[in-house]
Amino acid sequence: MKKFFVFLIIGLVAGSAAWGATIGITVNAATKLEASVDQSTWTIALDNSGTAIDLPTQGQLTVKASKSAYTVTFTSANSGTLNNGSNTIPYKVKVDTSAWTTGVATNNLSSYTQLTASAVKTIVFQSRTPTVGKTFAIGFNIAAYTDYYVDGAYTDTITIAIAQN
Amino acid sequence: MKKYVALLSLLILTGVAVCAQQSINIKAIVAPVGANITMDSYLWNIALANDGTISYQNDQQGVMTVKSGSTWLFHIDFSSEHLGYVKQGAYQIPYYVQVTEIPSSYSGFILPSSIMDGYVQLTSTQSIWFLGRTPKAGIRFYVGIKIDATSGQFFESGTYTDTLTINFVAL
Repeated sequence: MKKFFVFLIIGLVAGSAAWGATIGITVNAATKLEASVDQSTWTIALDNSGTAIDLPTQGQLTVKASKSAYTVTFTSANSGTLNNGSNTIPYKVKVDTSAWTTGVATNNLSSYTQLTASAVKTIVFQSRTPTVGKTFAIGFNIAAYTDYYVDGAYTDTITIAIAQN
Repeated sequence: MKKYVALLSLLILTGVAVCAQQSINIKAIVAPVGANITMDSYLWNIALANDGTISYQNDQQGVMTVKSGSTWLFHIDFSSEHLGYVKQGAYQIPYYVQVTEIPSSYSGFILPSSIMDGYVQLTSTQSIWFLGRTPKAGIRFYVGIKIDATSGQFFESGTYTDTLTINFVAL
């Protein structure tokens, strides 16, 4: 009788027949890459006393990214100087990413740096952000000076861009 | 003498058993005429908002038609190449499928199954068993798919894929 059951089971397995259909599923997860600042205009008073200006939380940069590898780039329209006609004031900026060390691969702006044209300043990231993003303080600095700056309004434009690597 | 009769009976019984086994094989190898599974679409392209809030759910992503042909006892099996995930390299997103019968005049029985009770992840094969032949035109089902958003988190953006296989198994 053992043979009977063995043969019967084998018979059922071998006798099963299958036909199939396959469906290819493709899911496109949308890309989110965004760099924004809390204020698009900074108005800074310079008292012409020669004292340095140091504003470590002048602005806030918020980065949102659904990619793991991306770069934020800082450039200055006047190569890191505030201009008033032919008069200029050099300034520096920094971005404090120290609270997210696991997400940042390199930061050219971890300390005050002038945004000269010779080398583009970048922050290279290696992790996605939460959907609310990650926010970093932007610092602004004008070094102490011994000569008066010519009175007037000095301006520059900083452009912050984000791109996937 | 009784021993011989008993032995003879056993031999005859074994012989019948062997014959029965062979007949089972022969019956099964002959494919049920007209049995098949078809879909209205064999490629599903899904756009995921990827904002950490909006999930994707389409209860009628596809329409599946099942025709039993001449067989009356069969099951259809759902399996996933990546065990219920769509993948992009090392990144993966879980997804869930559900099958819903579109009302018809089918007079057979469809046994209860998880995949017809709600959305399930295809971490293993999910089966639906049928007792009774379908009408010649078959019976139809909606196949749904659901992808949950992960609250407050992005998925790695890009293109994820998987292959969903539906097998018709006749017994």
